[in-house]
Order: sequence, then C-alpha cells, then structure tokens
Amino acid sequence: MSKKLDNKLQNLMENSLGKKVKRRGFLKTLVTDSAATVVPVKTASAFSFEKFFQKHYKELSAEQKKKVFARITKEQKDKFGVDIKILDPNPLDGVKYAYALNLSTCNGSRKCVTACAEENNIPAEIGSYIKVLEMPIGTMNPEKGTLFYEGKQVPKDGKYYLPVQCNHCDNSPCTKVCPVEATWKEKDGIVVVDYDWCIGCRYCQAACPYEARHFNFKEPTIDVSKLNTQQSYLSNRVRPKGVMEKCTFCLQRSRNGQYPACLEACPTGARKFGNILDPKSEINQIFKKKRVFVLKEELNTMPQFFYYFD
Amino acid sequence: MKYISLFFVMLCSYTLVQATVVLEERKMKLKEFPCSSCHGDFVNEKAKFPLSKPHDSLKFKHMDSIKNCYTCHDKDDRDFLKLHAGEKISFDESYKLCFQCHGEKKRDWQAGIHGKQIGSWNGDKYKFVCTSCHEAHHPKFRMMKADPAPKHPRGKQSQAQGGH
Amino acid sequence: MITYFEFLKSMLLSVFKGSKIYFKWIGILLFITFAGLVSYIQQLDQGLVVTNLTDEVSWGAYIANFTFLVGVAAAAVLLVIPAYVYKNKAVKEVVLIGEILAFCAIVMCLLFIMVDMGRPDRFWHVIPFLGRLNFPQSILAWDVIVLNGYLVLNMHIPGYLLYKYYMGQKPTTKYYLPFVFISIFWAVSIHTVTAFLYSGLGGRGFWNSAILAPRFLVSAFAAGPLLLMVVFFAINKWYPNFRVKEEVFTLLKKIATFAFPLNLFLLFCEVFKEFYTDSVHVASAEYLFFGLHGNHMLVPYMWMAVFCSVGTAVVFLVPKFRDNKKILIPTCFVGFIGIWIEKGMGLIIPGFIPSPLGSIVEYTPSVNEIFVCLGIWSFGALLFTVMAKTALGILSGKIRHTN
Repeated sequence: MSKKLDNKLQNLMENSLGKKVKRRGFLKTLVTDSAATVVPVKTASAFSFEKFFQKHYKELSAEQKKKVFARITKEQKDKFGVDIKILDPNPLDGVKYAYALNLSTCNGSRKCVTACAEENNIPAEIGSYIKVLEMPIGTMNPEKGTLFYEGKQVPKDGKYYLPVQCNHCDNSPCTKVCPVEATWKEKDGIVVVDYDWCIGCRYCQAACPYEARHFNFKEPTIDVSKLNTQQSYLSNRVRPKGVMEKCTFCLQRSRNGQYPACLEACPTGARKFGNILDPKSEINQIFKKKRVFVLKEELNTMPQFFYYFD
Repeated sequence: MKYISLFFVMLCSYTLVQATVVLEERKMKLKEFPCSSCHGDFVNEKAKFPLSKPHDSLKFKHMDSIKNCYTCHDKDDRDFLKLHAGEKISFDESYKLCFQCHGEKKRDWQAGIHGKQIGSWNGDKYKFVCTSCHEAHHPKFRMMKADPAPKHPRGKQSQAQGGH
Repeated sequence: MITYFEFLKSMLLSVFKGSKIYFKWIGILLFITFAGLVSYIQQLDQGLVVTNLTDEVSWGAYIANFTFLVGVAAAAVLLVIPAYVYKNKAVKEVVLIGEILAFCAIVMCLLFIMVDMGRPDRFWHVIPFLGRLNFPQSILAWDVIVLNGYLVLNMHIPGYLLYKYYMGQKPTTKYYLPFVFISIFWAVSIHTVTAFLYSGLGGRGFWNSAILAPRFLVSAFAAGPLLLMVVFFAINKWYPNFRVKEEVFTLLKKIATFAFPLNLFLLFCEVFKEFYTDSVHVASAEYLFFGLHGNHMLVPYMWMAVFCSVGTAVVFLVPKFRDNKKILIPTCFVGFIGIWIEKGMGLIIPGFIPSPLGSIVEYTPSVNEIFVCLGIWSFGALLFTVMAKTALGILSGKIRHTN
C-alpha cells in the first residue's frame, strides 16, 4: 500500500464528505448553517423553439445533445450565476447495479437523507429521495412505522429503521405506465427520467409502490451556496417545474466508479452498493451470504434494493 | 496471436485483482500515542476503572470476564498490543484483537460487508477499521442525534397509532 | 363545400339567437368559465402548487372529475343501442343530443387532463409518431387513443347527420351507420380503459381489483340516464319546437332502475371483500367509510353518497315515485351527485390513503382547484347548450338550408 495512494484516498474520503475527518475517525458531519442563499427560482425561461421541440433523450444525436447541454449550462448560469458541468456518462459494460442495506446496522441517523439532498440538488419542497421509516420491531408493515420520528438519540429501543428510496426495479411499474416513455430502465439497471420529456401526468407516482417518485409542484427552490455543480443530464441537474424526479443511484457518481452519496454519508456502514454481476464485489457477497429480502415482493416488481438483518 | 491475447487477459485480471484496499491507520489518530512516553516499566495488574488522567474519560464495558488490561495491552512493550497467544501487534492492527473472538464479523469485514468503506465500487477503496467506529474499551456503537425529520406535507403531525 | 360553410354559419348564427332564459344561462356559464380560466392561468404561472396535491395524494379533483365524466360520455351508448339496434323511433329522434352530450363530456375530460398535467406545453409528446406514445404498454397511452377516437366519432356522426338534415337530404347509410356501431363498442372501451388505469396498479390495493371496471360501467349507466333525463326535461320545458317523447323517459328510467341497485350491489361486493378479508389492504376502505387513525374527512361524504344511491334506487323502484316529476327531477340531481362522490372523490382519494409507505395525508381541493373544476364544468355545459340548441333547431326543422 503506497503512501501516495493512501493520501489520495484520504483526500477522496474527506472530499466525498466535504468535511475534515475528526480524531478517532468518527465520521461526524460539520453542519454549516451559514445564511443560505436560497433562490426560489421563479424566472420562467424565455420560450425557445429548440426547447419546445426537443426530442426524447434516446433520440438525440451527439450534436443535439451538445446543444441541449449548452443550453442548460447557460440557463443555470443565468439563474444562479454559477458555472456548472453537464455530464452524460454512459452505462458501463458488464455492470448491473444493486444496493443492499443492513437493517441491523442502520441506526436511523438520516445522514443519507441529507447527503442525498445535497448531492442531487433536491429542492426544499421535495426534501430528499430517501425516506427513513422508524418501525417497531416485529413488523414489516410501513403503516405501523413513522417517517416523522425525532431522534435525539438513535437507535431507539424496540425500533428498527427502514430507509426507502427508488428500488430500480427490474419489473418496474413506473416505466410500464409512463405514457410518453419519459422514464425507462437503462442498461446498467438504473431507472432514469428525461426531465425535458416528462409531461407531469404523475401516473408513475400513482404506480410506484415505494413512494420513490417526487413531483415538482412548483419551480424548485435551490440553495445556490450548496449547489452541486457536477451535474448530469439524466440525474442531478436542476429540474424544471412540473416534472418528476427520483433517486438515480447517483448516476453521475456511480457511472464514474464512485459510491452514491448516501452510502458515503452513512455513519454505520449499513449501505452497500456495487455491480451484482461482479463475483468479487461486496454486493455480490451479501447476496450470496446474507438472507436478503425486498419490500413488497408479492408485487413482483423485482427491486434491486435489498435489505437484510444479520 | 493467441498467446498475445492470453497474456493481455492475464495482465488485466492481475490488475483487477490488484484493486487496492487501503486500511485506515489508527496510530496517528490516538491522542496519547506513543504510550511509552508515560508508561515505563511499572505494571499495575490491579488497575480499575475509572483510570487517572489523561485516561479518566475512558469507560470499560466489553466482556465482563476481562479484568486485566494486559489481556490486550502488551506488558513489556507499551506501544503495542498483544494477541491471546502472545503475538505482538501494532495499534494499526488492533482489528486483529477483535478478530480473535468476532469471527463472523471478521469475514464480513474482509469481504466489505461489515463496516464502512468508501472510494470506488469498482476500484480502489479506503476501509475503516474496527476502532474507528467501535471504541475499543466500550465498543457498542455510539448513539447519535438523527438529522431533522421531513416536514409533514400538511405542515402538522397527523395524530394516529404508529406515529402517523 | 360551400353549403358546408353555410351550414356552419347557420349553426353559429343560431347560437346568438334565443330566449331571455337562454341568455341568462349562457351569461352565468360564461362568467363561471372565465373565473375558471383566470384560476388556471394562475396555475400555469405558479405550477400545481396552487392545488392541494402532494406527492402522497398526487391526483385529486381534476382526475376525479375526469374519471366521472368518461362515464358520462360512455352513457351515450344507452341511447345509441335502442335507436340503431332496436330501431326505437322515439329514441332515434333524440340520439344525436346524447351523442352531443358525449362529445361535450369528452371535451371536458380532455380539459381536465390538460389542467392536471405538470407540463401542458409538452402535450405533443403523447401524439403517436410525432411524440413518443408508450403504446401498448401504458394504459394511459391507450386512454389517449380511445378518448380522442371517441371524440372524433361523436364529432362525425352528429356532424354528418345534422348537415344532411340541414340540407334536407337523406343521409347515406354507409357514411354513418358503421361508425355508430363502432361507437357502441368504443363507448364501452373508453370507460374500461379508464378503469384499467387504476385497476392495473399493484401498488394501490384499493384500486387493484377486477371488479373496478364493471363498477365503472355500471355507475356510468346509472348516472348517465339521470343527466339525460334532466337535459330532456329542460328541452321539453324551455325549447318550444321540440318534444322529447315519454317513451324516451321510460327507457331511461328502466335503465336507472336496473343500474342503481346493481351499482350498490357491486359496491357491497367490494366492501365485503375488503372488510371480511381484513387484510392490510383494508386500510383504504377503512379510511373511506370509518376514518383511519383519526383522519376521517371523507367519511360523511361517502355515507351521503351511499344514502343518495339507495334513495335513488328506491325512487326508481316505486312507480308512484318515479312517475311523479316533482320527486323524479330532484332525485336525478341527488342520484347524479351521489354517483359523482362515490366515483370521483370516493375512488381516487382513498387510493392514495394510506400512502405506500403508510403515511396519511388528507386532501381537499384548494380554492384554485375548485374554480378550475367549476370553470370546466360550466364550459362543458355552455358547449352542450349551444350545440344542443343548434342541433334541436335542425332536428325540429327550424334551421334549414335555403337556396
């Protein structure tokens, strides 16, 4: 193990969390409560024929994509005064993502919830793509749990914690019902949304059994000081009003070999992610060794988000 | 041609297998290290908690049958720990002590299933060791304050069973 | 070709002629429509945040009204079958009014869909070949096709026939009769497809039931005759040159007499299955009828709807009541509203409560939503009034082509 590599990863660790690691390595997040420059972006962008007639993502040529990304970059520069980067990473070959969550280890800290919101430029109205249920031990019925628990000291006695986000189902009901195919499952398993094609009918939201899809009822309120400028067209770029959005397994990170933001923020290491087709990955090992299960299996949605107790 | 491609395949699989996992170093994070700067030859077999400064904040709650610090700390060389069979290990390898009893967790940790690792899911990783989350003398994972709850869509808590 | 323009011109001119009551009625409707339009413009500007919809209850008043109105549109078939299959002369005289009602109902449906969309500017995405319609996988894609197809059918058939009557010519059978028979099946299909929108979703236990499509159709056949009767009563009272025969009323009463008890029976079947099985999925039905965990907003409305339906069923079963106009006409309103509650709010909202992760978020339409809904209803009534009045003018022989 070279010193150089060690430093590089140390930096990576600190950068991925955006904070210095404290003594004893406890991964405490530094809460920066500066006067947030919250921008309720209300300026409706001027009508443009290009934007109106823009084709579906799958039908865009490389040339057209460049124009679209340039337009988005310019729009965000006008709105926020910030230079952003729009990436369009392709799915990696031989990769199918899966996620596993150890329910014995999750302590309900909601650090994943916060990290997700920051990484994906999620407006305050939506909050986060992750919802954590505080469940009483002995039941898997979400009705018996609560999303609104306050936790001065977690985990609480007699409770376990169930974070839920998009499961990127193999047999997803949301992609089935979308009338315009604005949402689809990519080759590497990620279910994505083309925010410039979505008509906002919210049928996918009615169809999803996991409450994983979120709608922009208004122009999103973005905290410019916390804007993540590394954006991608299909994932964490700032969405317009009237369209759906959802967890994309941090496509802008995962297709670049990085772990999703929620995993890196988890203080207990309960979250595991990787390529289930790779026999050496930890996710594959979990699948082989642990008694994994999925939520609402009877619906046959075939989620790629697995839970286990150990 | 066949042998050239075979060579490349072997090279690739070699490099893949060699995706590095870097372990967190613990020594540099211990405020009081090196122990030998205070602890000389004197050995107190009857040391009880709470200890004197600077270890006064240390609590002990790990296996009631351990009554003696030197079950894990090396009597002869205070900058090291020792395994059950007597082998000396550095503080950077403190996880080996845990492995003596926690076999299942050892296997899971080595596979990346237990504990935390960050970095790249398909490349180099940085793995945290046991004591970065589990304080050695009081290993139960610490309680913490949860981040704030989401706002109820109607701006209020709905009163109900099950907390809804 | 020129005569067609003259036909359109005559129709348009007849809109501006009428009695005082007609203009009062049109005036009120215009006003309400305008109020709805203003509210909608606000929604266009700010987004759907002006409604009370949330991620948990993502469909509300707009889709509830849409669902109900598809049923009203389908109910035109109740006149088409007697008129064309059984060649009932009395019904044949008024069948075009029924088809015009269906047309207006579909227009209202499409308007409700449009106001519900987050991005109405992207409506062209649903146009086949131009956009990217997810046919046949998405039931909503099917709905787009069948609703617009039904719209075209109900534009063509009355349009063609009225033109021919206007010209004093005999309509050519092959230009309308095949479409009439298609429209019979198509009417059933629009409501079946709309029901399948809901019943195909596994994640919504309240909707995921085979009986949903039959319930939709039966409730449409219950509410439809009531509306038709009110319309025909209005014509008989206020349109001097046309008389809807008693036979038509008898037919509609017969249909309602079957449909109301049947609708109640199907509701009972659903209720039995939910409460006897008492699985986790009973939560939505429990919320609707009895309230859930202290949330009971819909309970009074649902029970009111049940009593309305029961009362209406009784009225139609007792000859003394159903033949008495003073009882019959209010009953039509009561029954219509009862079905509207049961099918609209009583079906859409409980599907979202509790949410898939067990949250309970109640919903009442916001003021903005209510105005938009009223605006669309009054626009539909306005459209129907002017179209029906013109059609009646042609049917009664008052409007004819002159050389």
